[in-house]
Order: sequence, then structure tokens, then C-alpha cells
Amino acid sequence: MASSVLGSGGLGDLVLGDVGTGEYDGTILAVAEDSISLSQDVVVNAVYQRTATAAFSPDNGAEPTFRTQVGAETTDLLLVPLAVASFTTIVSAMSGAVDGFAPGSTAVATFRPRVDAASDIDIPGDTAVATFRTQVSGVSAFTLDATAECIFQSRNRGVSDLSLAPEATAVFRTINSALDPLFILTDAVCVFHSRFLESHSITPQVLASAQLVSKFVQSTPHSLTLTVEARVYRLYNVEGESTLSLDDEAERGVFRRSVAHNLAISDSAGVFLLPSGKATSTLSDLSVSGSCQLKTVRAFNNITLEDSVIVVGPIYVTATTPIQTTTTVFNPATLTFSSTITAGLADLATATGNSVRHATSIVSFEDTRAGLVHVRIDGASVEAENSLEIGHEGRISEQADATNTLALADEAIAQTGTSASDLLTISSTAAARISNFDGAESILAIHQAARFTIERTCNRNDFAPAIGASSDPNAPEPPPASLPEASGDTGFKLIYPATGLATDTLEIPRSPELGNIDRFQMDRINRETRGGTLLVYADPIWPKITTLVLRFSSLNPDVAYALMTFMEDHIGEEIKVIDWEDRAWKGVITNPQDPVTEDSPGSFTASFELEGERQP
Amino acid sequence: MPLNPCDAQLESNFEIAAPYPALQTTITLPRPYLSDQESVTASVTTKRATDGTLYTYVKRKNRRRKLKWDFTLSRTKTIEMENFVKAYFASQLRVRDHRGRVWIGYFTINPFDFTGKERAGGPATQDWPVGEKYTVSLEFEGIQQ
Repeated sequence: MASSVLGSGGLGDLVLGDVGTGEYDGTILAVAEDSISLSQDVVVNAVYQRTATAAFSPDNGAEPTFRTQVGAETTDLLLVPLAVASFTTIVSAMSGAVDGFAPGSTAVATFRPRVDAASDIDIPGDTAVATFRTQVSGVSAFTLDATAECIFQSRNRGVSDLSLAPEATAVFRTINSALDPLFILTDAVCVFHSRFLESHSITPQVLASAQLVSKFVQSTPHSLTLTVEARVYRLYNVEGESTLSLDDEAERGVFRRSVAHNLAISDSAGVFLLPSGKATSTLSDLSVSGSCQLKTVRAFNNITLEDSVIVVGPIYVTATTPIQTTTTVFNPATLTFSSTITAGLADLATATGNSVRHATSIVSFEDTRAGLVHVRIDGASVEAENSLEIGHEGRISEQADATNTLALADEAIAQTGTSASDLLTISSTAAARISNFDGAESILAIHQAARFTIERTCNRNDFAPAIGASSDPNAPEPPPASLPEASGDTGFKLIYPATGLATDTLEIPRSPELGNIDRFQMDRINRETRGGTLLVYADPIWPKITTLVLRFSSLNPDVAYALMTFMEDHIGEEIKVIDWEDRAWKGVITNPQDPVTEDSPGSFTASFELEGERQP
Repeated sequence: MPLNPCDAQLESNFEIAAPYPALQTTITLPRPYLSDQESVTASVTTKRATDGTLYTYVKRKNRRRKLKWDFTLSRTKTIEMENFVKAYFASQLRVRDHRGRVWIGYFTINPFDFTGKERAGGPATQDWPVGEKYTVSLEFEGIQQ
């Protein structure tokens, strides 16, 4: 699709932005925008193009500047006094019809590239100055009036009439060729700096006080021969071409649809010449004939913008640009391969301190997305701006590691014909705050304990515990220092219930047989370290069980059966037992199924185990 | 204390003090009955390779030994011992045996059985109605000091 020419005179800034967008499907880590910003300035200094200037008459004080060309076939160019005309390129195609190209008095005309086919270049006197920088060709009547100054910088060819009026000064810097009649009038000064080529007849009519200064070699000593060679030069085409070709392509791994955006801009400015003849110049007897050529020099600048958008397949295009590029390097120290980051974002968290402390901070963020909008190329300017600000913070705890993880996700939206800007501001801060309490604290616990022993023989058999003192609060409770008192009740009795008013009582007239066992059982754990150290531990709340294992013999049948009846009636229930030492116990008979044996006629043996604890 | 038990005094009392190291309570016992036992707790496992090489795998216990004493106590001493066991059955003990050797260790027996063995030779002491003898076996593991 070709766009309209922005017009002559130049194209302003050309800004192109090409963006690709795609849908995040979880596999794309980052979407990068390919933003291209171009600015091109094409300035066509075609200020104006004057193909025919009827009357170009700079007024007094006017300073026209002719940059390119003046294609004035018929031109009345009159430089009035004090006017300054500067012809930078070419003054051409004045096909003999330059009537009145007469820089007025004190006028200054500067012809920079060339002046050709100027029929009449009448530089009047009175300080009129005409400077021909490049060449002057086809000047049929070149008349320098009095006090006029004409400087031919490059060469002068095809000058038919070059009349130097009195006191006029003509300076030929390079070549003066084909000067047909070169009339140097009175007081005129003609300085030939370079050479005269094939001057047919240049008869300077050196009038009185006219000076002819020849700086160069005269070909013939006899006569002053000026050889003027006329050459035809063809203007070269100056082309200014500016081609701007942009190819923007968005690539992604997962293709759904693709958008290709090709923008080709070509800009060219050319100056071409329409040859319309050739310039010939023959020098014969100082007669120079030259022909004017009509040449048209044009410079144009055409800017062709072609912008094509081809949508093939999906609308959304994702451009994936890895934020980080990694490479695998070999570590000779560990003989392993490790990945190192060569380019992109690198994040580093360093924890310093007496001990290794780390903090983990994970930043999750979302970035808004803009949809794909198709905008006509000549539509309104639309800007899409995607700003993503990421704040990241790493904290150090007493126990954890400091890890600075910065996850980036950026999306760019392609909008055909518009520019999209994606501003990504990344700020990552990993701060390690270590609170070090370096104070060392050691609690020294000193406890005092004192014990004693009494060396007496009867201490081995008497109730004589030697209980000292201890300041250790964790020391076990020492045993009683005195014998527990017996209960007020006597005899061996089984009483139900254990507390309160008795509802059932069984008295056994005999004490249990010798061989009774007072069993003390507790929960205790033993551990052995690898070094063989034995460790024993028992929690104070763990149960401690005391069991009385009793056996009665020589019971009469009534007592034996009553015992079985009592155990059967109160099986599993807590009972109170008064033992043969008048000690009170409260517990449960744990083996009521033990048999009662008649050892001999009328003599029974019974046994039971009472699990309980002694009562005060 | 002499390491060679033969050089120790034979008439020394058998003392058990607890809790170690802040010793507070001491119980004096008569000498244990004969048939007391002492054994090494270290163990060895032997493996023999196919070529006949014998490999031994030893578990050392820092020279910890296992001792077993049988005591016959009076009724009152039995009550005192019962009280002592109930208080320090899980505490570290310092034992000075009848040979004067000092051990630091723990009771390892569970349960403690105080068995009425026989009648005592004389009347009960300290106003107790009966005079009986009780037997108790103590198993102890400790390191000689």
C-alpha cells in the first residue's frame, strides 16, 4: 500500500515502531518488544523552482539567493543598485534572452557554478562586481563597464564579447577560452591568471592606458595568442537517494498467527540534466562562438512510503527475548559444568554476617495487557504505553537464607500504524539486615548438696536413712526420714469400697505365707549412646506401681469360698486392704482367676495380687 | 580406692548414695549374699570370612559393668530400701560396694521385688509387730571410679 507523498520540501520525522505481541501461554518467560525508532530528515532544498522568471528584479537592498538553479529561459534579471544576487548553482538557459542582466551600480552578482548562455551580462560601472566562480560560458556580450569588476574564477569560455570598459577589471583565474573579442578598453585591467586556450583572436584592444597583464605563457611570442578551448561539460546528475528499508520481524516459539511488518522507504533526490544541445566552442580569430544550451536542472525528492502489513494467521505475536543469556562453562575445580550469565539481568543477593543468614523474597507481579488494535495508517496517532514497575525486597531472618529473585514479565502490544512505548523500570533491592547478638551467655548452675553417714553396725539393719540436704531444685524428692505409721485397723481385711462406709468386709484370720512379695514397678527407659554411655530416664509423672503378691494357706473352706465370692463380687473394683502389718492399701485385685486349692481336707490355699498404693 | 578388689577392706559397708553428683541421701546396706555377680557389658560379634579369617566387631561400653547383688534385709531396712528405690530408681547413683570399690551408675532392674524370706532371728525392731527378713536383688550398671 503506498502512502501519500508527504509533499515537497521535505519529510519530517519518521518514526517507526514495530511491536509484536503474543499471548502468554505459560511457556514464554518474557515478551520483548522490538521497538524501532527512526527519524529521517529529508530536506529538499528546493526552495523554489523557477523555470521562467519573467522579471526577476531584486530591489535595492534585496539579497536573493539562488541555490539550485535558475532556469530562466527568458529572464529579465536586473540587479538594481545595491542589490546582491548570489547564484549558487547555475544560471543557465538564458538563451540569449537575458535582457538586461545588468548588475546595477554597486550591485554584486556572484555566479558560483557557472554562468552559461548569458546573452547579456552587463555589468555596469560604478563599482558593479560580478564574480563567476566556476565558469562562464556562452556569454555573448559580457561587458564590463567602467570600474566594474568581473572575476572569472574557473574559466571563461565561449565569451563572445568581453568588453572591458575603462577602469574595468576582469580577472580570469583559470581558463579563459574562446574569447572572441576581448576588448580591453582604456584603463581596463585584464589579468589572466591561468591560461588562454586557443584564443583565436584575442585582440585586446588595449587602448590608452589599458593594461594587459598576462601571467602565463604566451604560445607565440609574436603575437599574443590566446587559445580558448571550449568544452562541453555535461552536468552530472546529482542524485540524492535515501533509501530506508526496515524489516521488522517478530519471532516466537509458539506460533498462532504472525504479523509481518515491512516498511520500505526510499527517498531520492536527483538532479538531472536535460541535454538540449551541446556546447561547442571554436576559437577562430578570437572569435568565439558558443551555443547556449538549455539545460534544466532539477532536483527532486520523491519519498515513497510503502507500508504493508501482512497478517498471516493469528493476531497476537509474541516476541520472546531472553532476559538472560547463559552459557555453560567448565569448572576445573569441581570438574563440572556450570551455567553462567553472559548477558542480561543478573541478580545477586549476598548475605554477610557472622553466621550465614539468608532472606527470601519473591516478587510476583502482573502487567496489564493491551489488546491488538488495528489502526489505519492515516488514522489518529495512538500510543500504547506499558509501564511496569517492580519493587523487590529481600529480608533476612534469623533462620532463613537471603535470596533475591526477580521475575520479569513484560508484554508489548503491536498496534499497526502506531507507536508503542514500553517503559520497564526495574528496581531490585536486596537488603541484608543481620541482628547479631554476639553476647555470649553461659549460665553456671552451682548446687550444693551435703550427705552424711553414721558408722554404726546396726545401721545396716535399722531404719536409718542418712538424708542430707541439696540446693538442686531438680533433685528427686528424698525418701521419708521416718517409718510410716501403721493404720488404726488390725488384722487382714478386705474392705469394699476403698473409701467411705464399708459395705462388704472379708477378714482373713491368717497372715499370708512367707514369700510374699512387695513389688515396685515403674516406667523407665534406658538408652545407650554410641560411645557406650548408659542413660536412664523416667519422667516424674510416669506411673509407679506397687503390687502385693500374697498367698494364704490353711484356710478353712468358709474363708476360701468367701474370698472367691468377695473377689467375684468386686472384681475390677478398688478395695481397701489391711495387711498383716496393719498397713492400709487401696488397690485392685488383678488375678481373681487364680484357683483356690484344697491341699488337704478342709485346708485351702488361695492367693491374689493387689495392685495399689499404700494409704497413710 | 584400690582397683584390686582383693586389697580392699572386706568389712566395709555397702553404701548407695543418690543422686549423683549432688549426693543427698545415703543408705547403708549389709554386705550382699554370696552369689553376687559382676559381668562386662562390652560385646563382641564374630564374623568369619570364606577364607577363614576371623573378624571381630566390638562394642565397648566405656568399661561399664553389670553387677547384681542379693541382699537380705531386715523389715525396717527393707522399708527404707523401698523408700530409697522409689525416690531414686531413675537417678544416677554412687555405690561403694562391700569391697570398697566405688561405682557410678544406675539401677537397671525392673521391677524391684522385696520378698519376705524368713522370720528374723529376733524380735522386730522399732516397734514393728513382726520381725522378718526380706530379700531384694539389685541389678546395677556402672563404671568403676
